[in-house]
Amino acid sequence: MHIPDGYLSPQTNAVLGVVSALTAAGAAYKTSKTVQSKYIPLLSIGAAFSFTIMMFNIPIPDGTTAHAVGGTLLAILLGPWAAMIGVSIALVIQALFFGDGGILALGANIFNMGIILPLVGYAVYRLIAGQSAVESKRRLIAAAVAGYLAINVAALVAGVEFGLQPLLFHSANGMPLYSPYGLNVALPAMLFGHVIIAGPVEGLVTFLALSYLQRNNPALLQIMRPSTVHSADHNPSPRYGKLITGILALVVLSPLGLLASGTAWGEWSSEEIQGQLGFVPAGMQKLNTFWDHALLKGYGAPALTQTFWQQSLGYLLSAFVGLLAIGGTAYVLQRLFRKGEVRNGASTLVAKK
Amino acid sequence: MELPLWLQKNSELPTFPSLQSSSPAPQKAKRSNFIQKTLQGIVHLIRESVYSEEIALRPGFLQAMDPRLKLLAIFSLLITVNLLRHLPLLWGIYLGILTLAMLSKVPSRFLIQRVWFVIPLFTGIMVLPALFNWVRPGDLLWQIWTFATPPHIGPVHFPPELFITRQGFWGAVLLISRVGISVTLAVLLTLTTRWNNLLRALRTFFVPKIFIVTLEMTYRYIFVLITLLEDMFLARKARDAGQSSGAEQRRFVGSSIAHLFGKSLQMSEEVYTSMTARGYTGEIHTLQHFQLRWMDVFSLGVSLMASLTLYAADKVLGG
Repeated sequence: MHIPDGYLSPQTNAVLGVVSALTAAGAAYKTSKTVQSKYIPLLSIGAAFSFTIMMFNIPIPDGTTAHAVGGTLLAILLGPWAAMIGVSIALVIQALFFGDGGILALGANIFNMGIILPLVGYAVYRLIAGQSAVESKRRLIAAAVAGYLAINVAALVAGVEFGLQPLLFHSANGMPLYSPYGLNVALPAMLFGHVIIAGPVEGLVTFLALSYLQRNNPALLQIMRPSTVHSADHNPSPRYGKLITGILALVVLSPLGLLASGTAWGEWSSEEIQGQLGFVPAGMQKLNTFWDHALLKGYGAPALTQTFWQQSLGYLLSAFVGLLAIGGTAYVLQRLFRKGEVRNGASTLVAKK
Repeated sequence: MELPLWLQKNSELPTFPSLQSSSPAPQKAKRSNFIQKTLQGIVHLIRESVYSEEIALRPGFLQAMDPRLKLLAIFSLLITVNLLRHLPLLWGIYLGILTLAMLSKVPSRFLIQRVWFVIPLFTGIMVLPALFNWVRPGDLLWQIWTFATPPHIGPVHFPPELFITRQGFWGAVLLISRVGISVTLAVLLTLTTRWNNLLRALRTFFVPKIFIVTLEMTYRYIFVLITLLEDMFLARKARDAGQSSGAEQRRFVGSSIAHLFGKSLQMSEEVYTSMTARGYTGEIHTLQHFQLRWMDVFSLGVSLMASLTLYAADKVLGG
């Protein structure tokens, strides 16, 4: 379920990223209220534990193995808010250091696996478990059902994200720019694997881990008593002022990205693009013949009506060349004046020859 | 870490005549090799992190760059790669990336192999059905087959021609290129930056301290927990004669997960008390000493300009 970069459009990622960031800030605030100053080591090790759960290969009856996410288990043991942060941080580390899931797609991955999954898992678990005793069978059943349902809901949400891509983002001739499958294909495809394999595995792992704890260490199941304390003030502490500002800026800026989305532009260009070759270099023309675009139909009459993007491309190109020239000159001068200076930075240990 | 030889092989399942009467299927055709797989996963993970740390210590162009600006630069390029709609521009970026990798002493063979042996396989299999007009209607590119009578599966009727559509083909090429180049960028960032610098760089981008400190601690404890996991699985492997049933194997996995959780909690208690003993009160203080060089600012400027220019070029090309 780790979505790599390239399957979802940056616009989708931006929207989901903002949602995830806000939720994560809320979760951090909630957790700091409930666990006091212990929470940093607890969360860190919870996140490391969540990462390690994903390392387990679980044998399944057909002789192969599958992975579990463990978000539901973590939500049952540490509460939904701590689980959110735990799984989210595990996902961040997977994306940044081990290439599991994309960096731009982090927002989407955190939304699916780090927010939806623990929330649904916890809700279902509490709903079925009710006020039953810690050692009761009812809790085990609740855990299994919660694990099963949570991962399927997360898969469903991911399927919706995939399925929206070809609807929203395609070029003028109908070429899909990102994931090519519509909702009618993406949803069944995502759900099939999870309903048949990943769901049962997740349910089973949650069940087995909980039954082990019931038998051997029931004290661990009482760390997170559902707290009846509802803090009246939902104002985020000033610590997040910076974060909120940043997110607000993103929210303000993201419509700009949406304005320039593929569809609006594509519809416009097929009509207007003829004879707009005031700026396109020769190499690009060749590429266009290769591509069989309608671009070259009106070629020959230099356009008088330049579009906004053509002008900006001109400006940008000249600025770009200027920047490179300045940088190059500065570099040469630096070389002439300070010969063989060892940079401080990566290699301070290298002795000067 | 290398496993000793006697542990690398899975023990053969001895056939006892007494067992055959009790169990209907004595020879399971496929024995799930979950212990071995998990152990290999652990070894692979540790090897990978050591290797990337080793490359991050080499004297190179990207390694010397300020991590904050490097993060910004790579992020802007990533967004651009995911916005562009024209293959030549995308592959132009890729050439630039390879040049950077060479300047940064990242073995380019490793970089190319690691990305292009895996991505086309996974993504390719995923987009394969979308090539055909039965899944996504489009313009004809390659005719494959013409049926005399329109085929149908149950109530679903297909058109009589089966062909690869132009939109499907170029869409697939675009998707595979996009995924591959994005992954290459991410790999480059990971390989040329030491993880603690990367985390510190994140702190300057509106990420609350709590998250960063948690991230830093998490990264450390992942290895502690993984070592625990490795011990558990090695111990199991050393005692496992290949006789355990699937149900028992799954029970073992469930128990070891729960046991690991218990150990983690105990560890977090210990870490907390030792932090308190060293004066931790809930306030976090971090050391931060990045030095900006002109070269860093310049590199960031170039990458931002490149991103904008490419985006504008993409718009001008239209499509």
